[in-house]
Amino acid sequence: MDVKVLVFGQIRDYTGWDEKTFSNIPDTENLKNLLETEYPGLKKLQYQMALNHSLIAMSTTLHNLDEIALLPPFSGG
Amino acid sequence: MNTNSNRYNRQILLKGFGREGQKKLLSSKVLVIGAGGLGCPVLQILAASGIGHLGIVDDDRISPDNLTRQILFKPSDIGKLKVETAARALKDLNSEIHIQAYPFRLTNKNALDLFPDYDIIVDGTDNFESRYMINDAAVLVHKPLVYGAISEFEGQLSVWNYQDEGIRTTQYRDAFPNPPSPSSFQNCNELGVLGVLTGIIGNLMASEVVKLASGIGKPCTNRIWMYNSLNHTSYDFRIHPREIPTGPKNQKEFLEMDYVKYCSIPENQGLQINSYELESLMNQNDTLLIDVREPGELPVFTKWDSISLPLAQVREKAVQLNKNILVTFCYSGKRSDQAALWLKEIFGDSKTIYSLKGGIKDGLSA
Repeated sequence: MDVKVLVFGQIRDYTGWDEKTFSNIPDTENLKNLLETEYPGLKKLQYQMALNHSLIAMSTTLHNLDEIALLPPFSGG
Repeated sequence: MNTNSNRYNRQILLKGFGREGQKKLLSSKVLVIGAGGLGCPVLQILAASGIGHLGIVDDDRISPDNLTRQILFKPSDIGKLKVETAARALKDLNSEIHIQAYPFRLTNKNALDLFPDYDIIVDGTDNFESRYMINDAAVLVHKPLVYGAISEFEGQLSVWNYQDEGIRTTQYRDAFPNPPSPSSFQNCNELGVLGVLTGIIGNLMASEVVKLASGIGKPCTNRIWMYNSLNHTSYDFRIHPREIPTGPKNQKEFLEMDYVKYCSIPENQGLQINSYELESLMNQNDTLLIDVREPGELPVFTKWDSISLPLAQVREKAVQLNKNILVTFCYSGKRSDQAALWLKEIFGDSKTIYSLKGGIKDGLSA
């Protein structure tokens, strides 16, 4: 089971990539934990998670080919 | 208003826009907050297209490093107030419209005096405290808010708080319920910005204003549209209303907010404790355990005595919390984090405040 993760804004400064595929992740909470273990800098960021383009407020089960995107707030103008 | 001059011919020619659309633009009142990288292109095209009344708020003066993107300003304007220079430049562009300059910083102490006079609010500011404050004010006085923001080579666009056939679309806090900790993201002053990006996002913001003002098309509501100028790609984030709004509930709460402090609360980790730490705290008489869930939510928590104070009432009833150590909890730990932040705001260092990390979902109730 593969899911695609996309990151935006300054989040990529921590991951070093824009897009990456992860396998066998049961839900978004597990994905978040995995990402924050691999890239501890993410822990201090306040970002939102979108599953298939839709922002989610709680952990959600993942399915094959799901797409998760991490949305940071921007303040610049 | 006069729509007979040739000036607006090309817009009036447009099917679906026409004389009616132009009349609506000319009778619209739009308040643009921030006359900077986003504000300048927004103001320029709105003035040229004939928005009848433009308000501009900014307390800043023009500096040389503004000139790559703040296209209403010339080198000879350096040191002058942005709003006054912008107002003059816009008057030169279109003398038929009315321009009101407000040469001060918009805060929660004056926003509610200005917003009611306008139909559409535009957020072209460059910091989180202004963005949260502007959103909260727009929500309280029921004004649509056109939002744009940038970070390095990317930009975000949305229209918040628009009444769509009686249903209010999402607000900024539905996407970002709480401000990020101050150390987490850098701003344009630290990261830099290409002039062309603020031009692109600013013009898209102006396009949303024109659509709202004239009633054409579909506004960019219930989503954040993300643009990457390096790859020329975009991505849509659909936003849903949150069950528990985090903003001030009424004008009184809004006026009492300290947005600068609100957006500089350090990371939440310091407020969180785990169940072992809680256990040792519960042996102290001075600890009050607070269930911030709604009454009736399961599981019932019986391990220790606790009081019920649903999140929505935390701020108004905080004064009744008469112990020195306050520990909030909920099912997952999210609402209790919010409650702890609010209690910290209210009590500062006079009480010790914690949120139970991860909530009681993992069986603490057993």
